[in-house]
Amino acid sequence: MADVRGKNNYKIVLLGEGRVGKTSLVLRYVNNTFSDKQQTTIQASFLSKRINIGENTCNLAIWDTAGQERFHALGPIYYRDADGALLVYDTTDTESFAKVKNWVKELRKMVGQEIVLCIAGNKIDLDKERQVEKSEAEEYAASVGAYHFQTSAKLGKGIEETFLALAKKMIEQRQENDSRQSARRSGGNAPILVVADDTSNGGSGAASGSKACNC
Amino acid sequence: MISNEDEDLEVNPVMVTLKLKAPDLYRRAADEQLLVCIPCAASSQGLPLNRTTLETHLLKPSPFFAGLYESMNGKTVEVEEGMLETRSGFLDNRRVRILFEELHYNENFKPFRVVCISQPLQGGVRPLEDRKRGKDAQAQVDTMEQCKTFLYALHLVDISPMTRAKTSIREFFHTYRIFAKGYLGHVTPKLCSLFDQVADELIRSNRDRLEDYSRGGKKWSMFRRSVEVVLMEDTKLARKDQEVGVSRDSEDVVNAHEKLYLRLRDAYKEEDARIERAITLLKSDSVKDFGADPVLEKCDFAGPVKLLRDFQKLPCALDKASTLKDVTNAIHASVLEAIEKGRVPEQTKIGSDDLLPLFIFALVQASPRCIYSNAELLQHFTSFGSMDSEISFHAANLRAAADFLLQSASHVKQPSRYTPSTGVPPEEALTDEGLELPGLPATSKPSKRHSDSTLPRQRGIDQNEHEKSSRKPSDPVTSTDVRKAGPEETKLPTRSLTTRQGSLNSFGAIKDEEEEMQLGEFLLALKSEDLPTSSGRGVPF
Repeated sequence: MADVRGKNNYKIVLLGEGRVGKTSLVLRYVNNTFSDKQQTTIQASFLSKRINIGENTCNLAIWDTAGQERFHALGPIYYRDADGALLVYDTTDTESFAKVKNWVKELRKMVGQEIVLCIAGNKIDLDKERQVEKSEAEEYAASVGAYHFQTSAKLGKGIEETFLALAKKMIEQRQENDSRQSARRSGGNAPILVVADDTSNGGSGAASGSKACNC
Repeated sequence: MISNEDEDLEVNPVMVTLKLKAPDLYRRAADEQLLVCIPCAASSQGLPLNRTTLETHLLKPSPFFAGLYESMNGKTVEVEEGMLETRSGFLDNRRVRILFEELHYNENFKPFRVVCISQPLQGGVRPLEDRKRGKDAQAQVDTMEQCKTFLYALHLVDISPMTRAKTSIREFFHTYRIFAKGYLGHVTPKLCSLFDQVADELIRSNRDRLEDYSRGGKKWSMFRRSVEVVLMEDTKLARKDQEVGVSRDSEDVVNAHEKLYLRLRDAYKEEDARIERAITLLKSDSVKDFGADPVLEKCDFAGPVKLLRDFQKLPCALDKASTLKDVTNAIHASVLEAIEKGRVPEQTKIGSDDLLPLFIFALVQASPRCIYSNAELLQHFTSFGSMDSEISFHAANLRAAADFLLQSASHVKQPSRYTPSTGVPPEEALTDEGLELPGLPATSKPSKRHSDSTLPRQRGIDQNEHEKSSRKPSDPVTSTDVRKAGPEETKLPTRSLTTRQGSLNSFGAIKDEEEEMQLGEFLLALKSEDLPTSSGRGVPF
């Protein structure tokens, strides 16, 4: 499939156990607008939001996923090609935090470091029932190279910061990838050129190399 | 759709002027997190881009009244339901539509809102909004018909790249006569690159008409999608490969959409059949059984079911994708209707925790054929999915549903895991109440494996649990009966469960397969099942 994703389009996948508040979280973030279209909606499975950070305007496409255990195996269908993942757990439920750890393992194994991870501990408004300590979650997030935020979809706390951090990192990562690719294109193929075809220049060498691969 | 809603604010004249000519105003708006109103480019013609105009469009919320805003030069505006209405300090009263909103961040990463509005709050021109919107509506490319309209309206002068591409498409189908499962990785990009090439050639050869269709832009995406869909529609091929070259009038001529779909159906007929069997098994399940919120059982999902019923008959992948989107909308409409009727709590929101189960439920009820082939088609054989995240999302839902049903089918299909007549796994058959089996305590609990929620819900297994209480010793033959019988006498049972409505059909599929099993295979299967040993846990085979 031709990869013609717009350079400003970013895909975020929401993962986490069922009923931890993924839907409420994303609805809080996306529906907090003046637009009449958004406010009446009840649908929260696919949402988009346009943001501008610095000079970068981005379209965030947020894909919600079914969190029930029976659908776990379907995860790759949704996180394929994602630029970022928001992993949500319920701070009053240790099981949901364990589930997040499983997702992190799976994402790192299947997608690698390419995907930006952000862990959100939701329902901090129910602080009396808290079962997952903030320090423990932060420590874990740091150990796997993920951001960690505490959120409350009910109170609208921490949501903006969560998505902002995710978006900033995704932009940064894509820019790094782009510059790495362009550097590779400009200089990385020189040795191949020498071996493959003495007469060709850098660009064509890369082209001939890729042709050879396709055959 | 090309519309003002797709406008890039970075090149909007008002935004550019604000940032470059009045950076102090822009910085203040950012620092104070004001509401920045940017009239769409089409409406800003003739608008004096001076400081007064800019100040008029930078709004600060009133500390006293919700929804009321005051501009930097003291005028008041009310914001309500996606509209801005001028209140005081303006020459005339205007109601201006918010076209879209962006969330911008200042240097300290504090957010402030920027809204693109259909008309300036003062001055400028009144865009012919309705006419423009009418025209935009025609510019949608969500279905094949819309793609045709869009492409033909461009009045392309040189369409020779299209003609050449038809030959290439025929060559493609001639080369790839069989789609081998698992070896399609290099096949699908070939079609996509072909369409990319045609689109680029058309743009080059019709430069006068397509000068603003630069690659990667919104217009290019629409054009590229239309080229793909229309080209596939216009390319005629023989239905059967050996009949290449038959006349177009022949009934055996199909277009490339149909041809592609036929090829995929051939490749994935086994998966399609398994899904159909799974659907038969799951037909009587409710939305709750699929994992949706039980309150949603009070919704009427006839709408989405109806849409899915003839889904496989649509030849064009884009039409299929569009239908999937309609199905999602119809699911939401069903829930909204139930909310309005008071059957479902008002605060109900449909995230994927509910949407996917509801979608699978609707799919099972509609029972369209060739679900797996369709999922493959949408996921791998269209390029527009990768250009449109929403289409891609709906295609992913179909894929997820197909995989879920396939998994369900796998669990009920394994013949050796069940005793032939009852569909009960050996361990469970041995633990059934009323069955006196040597060496096995009658109170043994079912193995955890079968109640593991990580597996798709297993109809056969759940049914077994359901019927435990109703089963009698005289009920169909068990594994014990089979073991007692000598090899010659042993016949694979032909009876199915009759204890619950629908179960006869449900197990018919299993029964048929098992009837075909030879005795030797059956014995081998039983051996390989790692049956409990005689050491107190089970029966020696």
